[in-house]
Amino acid sequence: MSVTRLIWLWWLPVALVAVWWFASAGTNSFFFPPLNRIVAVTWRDLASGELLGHLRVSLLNMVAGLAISAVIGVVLGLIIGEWRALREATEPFLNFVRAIPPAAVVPIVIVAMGIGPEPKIFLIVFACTWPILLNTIDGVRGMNPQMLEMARAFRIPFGLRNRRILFMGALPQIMAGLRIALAVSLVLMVISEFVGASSGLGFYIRAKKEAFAMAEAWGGTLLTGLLGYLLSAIFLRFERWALHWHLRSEPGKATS
Amino acid sequence: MNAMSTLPSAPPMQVRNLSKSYGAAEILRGIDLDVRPGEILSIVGPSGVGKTTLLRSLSGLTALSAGSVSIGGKVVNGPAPEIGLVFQDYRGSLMPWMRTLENVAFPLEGKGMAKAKREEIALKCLADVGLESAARKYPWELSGGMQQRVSIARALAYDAHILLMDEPFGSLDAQTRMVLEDLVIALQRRLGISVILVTHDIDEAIYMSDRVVVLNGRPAGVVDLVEVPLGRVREQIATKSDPRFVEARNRVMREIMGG
Repeated sequence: MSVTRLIWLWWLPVALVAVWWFASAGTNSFFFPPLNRIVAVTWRDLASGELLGHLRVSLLNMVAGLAISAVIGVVLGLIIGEWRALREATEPFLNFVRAIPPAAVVPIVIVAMGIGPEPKIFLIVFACTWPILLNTIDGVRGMNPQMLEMARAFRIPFGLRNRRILFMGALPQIMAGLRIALAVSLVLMVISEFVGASSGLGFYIRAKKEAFAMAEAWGGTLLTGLLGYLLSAIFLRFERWALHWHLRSEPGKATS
Repeated sequence: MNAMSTLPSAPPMQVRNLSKSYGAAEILRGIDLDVRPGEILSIVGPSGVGKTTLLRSLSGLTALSAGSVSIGGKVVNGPAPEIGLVFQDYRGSLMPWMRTLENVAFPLEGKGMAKAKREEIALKCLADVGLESAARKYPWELSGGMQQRVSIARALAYDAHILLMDEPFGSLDAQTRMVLEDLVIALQRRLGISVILVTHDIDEAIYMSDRVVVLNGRPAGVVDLVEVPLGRVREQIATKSDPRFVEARNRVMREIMGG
């Protein structure tokens, strides 16, 4: 990447951070500590291993939750998408459950499942399965039906047909669902660690706030944002790789 | 294994009293047809008469309401291994996530054939349609005519003895169309396969076929079966200006347009 391109892409974020850095330098505000102190304490807690431990716990919950949602969402989505009677039977139910804000079930889940990693993973799964499931259903329904007819005409065995045609045909939509799920999982990861948790980024932010260590709380928040940014950048790369045929065959549909 | 080695053995296909209804709408009634081994047979008729329904019934994709289809004396229900289907919409029947070679080899993967073997056959069939050099390309990198060649290669790789084609050249330009018509004729002559072609283009039907089936009526039945007396060597300009070509065309046209 050329230097000009780097400047073109990064001048605004760099400028904003610089403004924050200098404008907040030397402030005595309790709630808005100076950025240099936030960076310093965050670095200190990272170096001591305290924050890294929380980061690890959070990441594990997220990855586990996302993986479980992806399997449930894709498998059920492929089945429901193909099976009209099932689709019509499940539609009202899906629309209802999807309308429940996942954060609303946090208290019940924590009470029911205790404070281990299970309730956190469960909440992420609960929230992330819907976008993947609904997108997979859409992906199957939006497929050119002739592809499936082709599979029938050439007597392609069921498993091979599902893997190489049905799944691949729905893949652009599945990836769109995963992209949403990734963002949702970050939210649920933090929220689930606010309540009934003893580790994780959410726990760190809340504990520091309650100890009136505002610079640390800010640091945890910024780190969460950075984590989300990095994960979505990695996901975008993965998506471009997995869907290169789609992006190149239908240039209008390219994602950002 | 490959179509090349099966020259004289395209099985005869028999259609007896075939009827097809969708709900209360009766589309086809009492169709009898014998497809001779190694012939090109076209099905023509006014648009909406049920040509595609007939082809789908022959392919086994659509269940019959009554009657039977048999291949080599065996009654078939559902898609038969002897039949290779070429769709009109090549965009929808080639997989954009598979390279050309994979698309052609895919039905062989369905047969459980090892990768090296199926790619060897697929490459040979691509060569049969003049597309060996496009093996590593994706379908969407190819022109419409080339994509349709890939579809034909796929049917050949599947070792189809009977090629069923539904308006295969319908969305191609006139020039590409003629080239592909000649390609299918040449493949038929070389491989000895049977070809059943649905088309709305009467000239194309007569130019390519040994016999032309004219469908008409509601529900549709076979109103005529025209033997095309033009021999087995066809040439775009000479054949189409032959008085017997013109005579056959006029006959079919009258039957379709009811004049």
